[in-house]
Amino acid sequence: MTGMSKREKDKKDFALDDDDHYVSLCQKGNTNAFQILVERHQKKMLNIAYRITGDYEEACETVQEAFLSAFKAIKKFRGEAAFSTWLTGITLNHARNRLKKIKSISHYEGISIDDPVETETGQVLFDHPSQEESTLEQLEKKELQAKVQECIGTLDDEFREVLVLRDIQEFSYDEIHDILNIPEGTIKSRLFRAREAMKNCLRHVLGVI
Amino acid sequence: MITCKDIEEKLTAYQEGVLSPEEKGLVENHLAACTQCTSALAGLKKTVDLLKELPEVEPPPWFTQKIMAQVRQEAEEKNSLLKRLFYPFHIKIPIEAFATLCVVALGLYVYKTSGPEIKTYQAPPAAIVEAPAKDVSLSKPVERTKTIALPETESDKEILSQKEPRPQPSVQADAQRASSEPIMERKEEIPAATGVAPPAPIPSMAKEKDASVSVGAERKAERAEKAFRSPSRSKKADIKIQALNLSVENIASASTDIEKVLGQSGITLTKREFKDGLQTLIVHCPAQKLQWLLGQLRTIGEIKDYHEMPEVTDGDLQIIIRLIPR
Repeated sequence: MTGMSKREKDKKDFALDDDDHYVSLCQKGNTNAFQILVERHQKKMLNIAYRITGDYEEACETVQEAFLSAFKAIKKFRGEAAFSTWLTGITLNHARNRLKKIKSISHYEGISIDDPVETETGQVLFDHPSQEESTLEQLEKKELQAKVQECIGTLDDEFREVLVLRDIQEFSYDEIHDILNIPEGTIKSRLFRAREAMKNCLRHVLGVI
Repeated sequence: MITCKDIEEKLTAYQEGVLSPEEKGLVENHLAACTQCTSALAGLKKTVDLLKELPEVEPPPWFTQKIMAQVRQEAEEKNSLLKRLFYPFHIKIPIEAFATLCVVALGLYVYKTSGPEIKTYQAPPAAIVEAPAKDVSLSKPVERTKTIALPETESDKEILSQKEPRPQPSVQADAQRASSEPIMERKEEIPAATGVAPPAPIPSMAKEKDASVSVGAERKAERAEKAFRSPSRSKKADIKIQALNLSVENIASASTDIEKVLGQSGITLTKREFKDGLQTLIVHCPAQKLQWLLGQLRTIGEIKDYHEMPEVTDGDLQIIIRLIPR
């Protein structure tokens, strides 16, 4: 719950001290103003990228690319949506592209015996936990989180993005609409399917849910 | 009949609190009676809780610096590209010098191609004929030709007047008239200027013309004069121009007399020019008063080099009166 309160606090801070002033300075060529925006948003963007790619190093690379792209395109930013929303869209695009690269590389490199096994229907099977590890209490918190992250990684891109934005980053439906440019009905249906898939995946991974 | 599958599809919306009151009531009624759906809802809640409990990762300590290094490099590349294009320091001086030379050359070209033409058309062919030429010999055909055909520039006039200190009245013509026949005049002037043969003065000046004037050149000069005085030319121009020489005993007193005459008649004196002790008067005269004016001028001096324009009966005339000593 500590994490949640932190996120809420971050959101409040952004709302109180908006980015428009610094964005306009950046548009006039002030790179120091861009540094302030980087300091403000890097953590949030890193977490989004990390939950999408599932790899810390890749997430760092993704966020660097995203900020560089944002800087190059800052003059095109019209302020129709919030800067953080615009930046999140850029980060998601870079994360998506990076994920494709990772998938294509791992495809050519072969599959590790430790990787989850994908069935013909596309469902991912994890190693069934032993009897000793079957209860939630027996699992280390870290391991549990790693399993959750693995399950996120099994989702299709479109479901994963909605799940990360809504359930982890707690964006509103309007914000998700601005970021992904999809209607609210589509967001809801994707979220329903993403949660169902996550629930099933966790049931497989954890045994009990 | 509502099935468990229908309810399960609504569970996420129920969880999000976005169902209508009716749908919400239906779901809650079903959940109260169905353990399977209640379990499904609990599973969903647990899933969302697990997602929300995921810890946030912290960016590495060098993260801001690394991002900003890339951003600054990008900004510098952008700036240096602009500088290379617009402020190339190393090659700035040669390029700017070259650009300056180009501008100067262009300016000279424009001046040379447009400037002299305007001046050329300021003097009508009738006015440029001036050939007492007692000191003009066959050995200097080009200079003489210049005197006749190209009184374009003041510097030329000065040089020529130094060489040949004879009367050289300058004549100002209307720019409108001048622009109407540029090609014809140029054509007539080119052979004269090349020094092939000196052109002939108009007939009334024939007694003064030099023996070196060839017949061919004389014809060319006549053609130029004809073209200048042709009806088509007069029709084109709004104001017709007539030039004449008035031979007088005393230029100063003659000038005063002409002014008096003009004052009585309402004919306006538009310009007066002094050059080498000679005077040129340009007057604006209605066509009906032309004969009267000529009569008055005959009382003051002897009119020379004047050609009647019988077709001119109305409109205005510009009369160029050159006062020359007898």
